[in-house]
Amino acid sequence: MVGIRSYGVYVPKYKLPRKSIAEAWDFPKAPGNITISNQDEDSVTMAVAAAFEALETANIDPKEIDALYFCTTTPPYTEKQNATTIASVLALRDDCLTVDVTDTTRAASIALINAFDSISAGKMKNILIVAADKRYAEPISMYEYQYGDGAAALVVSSDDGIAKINGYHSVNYELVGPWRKEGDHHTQQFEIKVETKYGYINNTVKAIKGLMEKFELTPDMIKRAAYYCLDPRSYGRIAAALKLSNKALADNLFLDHGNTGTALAFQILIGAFEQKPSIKQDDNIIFANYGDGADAFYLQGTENLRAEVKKHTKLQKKLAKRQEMPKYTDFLKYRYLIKTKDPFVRKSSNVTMWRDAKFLNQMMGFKCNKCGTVQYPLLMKNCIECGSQDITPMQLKRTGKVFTYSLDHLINCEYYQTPVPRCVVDLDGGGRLLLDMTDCIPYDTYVGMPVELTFRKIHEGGGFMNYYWKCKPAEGAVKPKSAEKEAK
Amino acid sequence: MGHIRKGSIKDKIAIIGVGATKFGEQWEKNQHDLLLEAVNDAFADAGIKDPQEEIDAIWCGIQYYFTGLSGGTAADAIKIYGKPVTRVENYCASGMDAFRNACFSVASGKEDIVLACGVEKLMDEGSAGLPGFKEFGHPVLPLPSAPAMFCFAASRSFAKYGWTKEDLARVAVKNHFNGYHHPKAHFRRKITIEDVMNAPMIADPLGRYDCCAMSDGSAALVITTPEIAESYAHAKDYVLVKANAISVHTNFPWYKPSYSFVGFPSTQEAAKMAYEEAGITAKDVSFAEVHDCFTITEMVNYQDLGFIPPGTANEWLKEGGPMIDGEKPVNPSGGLKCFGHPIGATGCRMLYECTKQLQGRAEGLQVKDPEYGLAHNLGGAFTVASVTILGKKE
Repeated sequence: MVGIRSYGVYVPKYKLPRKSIAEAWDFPKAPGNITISNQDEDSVTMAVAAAFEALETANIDPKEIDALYFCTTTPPYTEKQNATTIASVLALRDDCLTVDVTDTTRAASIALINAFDSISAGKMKNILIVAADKRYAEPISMYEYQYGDGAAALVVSSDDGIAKINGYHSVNYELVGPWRKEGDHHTQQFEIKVETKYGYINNTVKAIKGLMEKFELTPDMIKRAAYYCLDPRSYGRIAAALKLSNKALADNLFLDHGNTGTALAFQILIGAFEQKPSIKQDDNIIFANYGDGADAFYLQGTENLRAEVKKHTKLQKKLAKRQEMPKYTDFLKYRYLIKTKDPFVRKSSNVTMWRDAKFLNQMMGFKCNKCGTVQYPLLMKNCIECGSQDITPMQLKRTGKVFTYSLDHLINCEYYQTPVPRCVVDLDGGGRLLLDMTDCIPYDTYVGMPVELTFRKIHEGGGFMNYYWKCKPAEGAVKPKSAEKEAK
Repeated sequence: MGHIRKGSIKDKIAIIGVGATKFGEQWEKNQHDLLLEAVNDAFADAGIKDPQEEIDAIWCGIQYYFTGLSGGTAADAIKIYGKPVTRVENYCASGMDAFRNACFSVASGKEDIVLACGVEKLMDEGSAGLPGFKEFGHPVLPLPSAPAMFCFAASRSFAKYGWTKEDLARVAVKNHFNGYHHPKAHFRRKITIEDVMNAPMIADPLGRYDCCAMSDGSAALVITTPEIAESYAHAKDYVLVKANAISVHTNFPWYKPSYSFVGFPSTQEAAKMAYEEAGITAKDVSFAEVHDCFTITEMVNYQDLGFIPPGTANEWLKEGGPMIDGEKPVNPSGGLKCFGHPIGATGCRMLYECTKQLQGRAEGLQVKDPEYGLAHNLGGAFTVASVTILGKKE
């Protein structure tokens, strides 16, 4: 028995209206938005956010995870595994198998096939799959309308969970559709009509048909179908070719969100879980993904699905909460498409980063056994209050409140996308630290503001990826008029 | 702090000569030029005729590696070779710590006449704000700019005491009024509350006029024993060191859960030690040159140095307490606000000012009949504080 036990979706803070792309390049106007990540985000940081939701919402101990699959076409490292970074932040076991699956948007479903097989074979119990992408469309091309950023995670396990997985069917197909060669900055596309017809529609239909034959499913038996969306029109054509009813079709997310690459199929599936009318026990679900072929899965709802879904902030709600990026130039700056000096770069040392991983990645602090003070970081192994060396390491929480702050207009002595809120944060349950704030309106910062920690890319000093935590406003943090006085 | 220090340098050290360059954008001069100019000024003031012969040792405050490493920088600038020369780095207290070490050498009887000096050449770095943050420290733990660090005190004081940006502005207006009269100040322009309020932001709520400037400069002091001082130029009016204290707290106050951010323990400790050594209280201090790197810092200093109770700095400013004609003039020179802050030089520059005030020969506004002058530095993340108290001969 294999099932999806839990899920998470990460939607970055910003959306870029397609009309601002149209205005920038004098393109024909297009409706909707694409979701854009902040400049301190990459596929690894977004994957971390989605994975935390998948683990924590379902109360899954990270030590239960037997394998981690990280799926992306935009891995920050091409030599050096990215999954280990995620495993370190999530504090997974050191005998957990870590895998990067890359090079195609189908990476996510390839991982799902592997997870299904490992669990079916009785080799593993819980497998975490995280898919994330931050792809760059060719600048000044209509493909800019398509690409959004985001991540999604599934925990696949050896019980039914929220949806049973009964099996799959997979096909491969050679066609140079979207591609990026070694060293290419953005994804290129050639003749979209060929790819759409012979690549996307043909293969998705082939995989789903194969699956339906294998499991003797007829179109009327399908309560919901969720699959990768290259564009909304072709998405509909696939349903028509398979004779699926329109009512069964999951929201393809294209209009308001864009194509999030490797993460997209999972996001559409999770949207389908959350969509009304709710999926009932034993309802048949078709899930498929596309990229150099296609994979199709036969899923069935379980009695747990509705209850689990209720614990999550719904994908549609996350989309509704995004903040509009007002200017196309901001998008260019966020993507470093305008080449500027990177003011965030600092000297780095992979020795320091390795030695400090416990507190840099996992937010380990300690408690002083003499005076009881909970503190951060493990940079010095004696108490900052009483000097005692009698300490016990302790996992700190990822939520807290702003004790004091400043809005810094100088980043490494230069003005660049400022001000940055520098926040002295008192963590819930103890520990105080200094964190930059991100995904925020700087002037809305206040003493006493509730914040949550978010794992971000800080800079590429030393030529490698330097990740650390920032804070961002917690759900419902609103600056009260009397904030300054109440805080004391 | 149960241990009672028995030793003291009170009245054992005489300042017999002081010198300083003009502070500001000294584009045409390098660190050696500035140091030599300040030292020449001090030697002339003291009546030192043959430095190589008369000066036994040198301590030189330098913060940044690009200004100079080791004692070699001062030795080369002054061309005193073969003697003990030491570079002292202790953040913004570097200059005053150089002076402290110089005092100890004389007090110990090891050396007779020594030079304490400081220099910094900030303008050559071409950065907005203090340079070098990319080059040191932890790879990813956040490092705010200096104004942002001190802003933590502003945000917290605003929340706790209800202070406002206008309260901060009064510090800037006062210091600019004083600095207007000082020929060696970087900025000599009177400003208004409106100027301060409308200036561009550096780290909210600190705007341009809330921050001291990047400047170049150097200052120097010649010190010796009171006995030897009797045979030098200022035999009649040399100035005595009454106390000198330095206190170091954490480089990382933002990891310390008990840290209040409305007062700086380093200043409080250094002040306590200094008052004890001098045998006086804050009431006895006639005037002070305090570390006004930012307007908020000066307000917090009033309280930490014990001039007024916590939370009342805004009222004290409104009442005119720290004004030149007030109950206790603070920064009669114009402070860091008008001189700028070439890090290594600032401590020595403050002692230069205090000495001249006590001798009644201030170049800017003269404090009326001062008895005790206090100089104070605060550096890093409020890490290092130094307090020196000077008094008149006898």
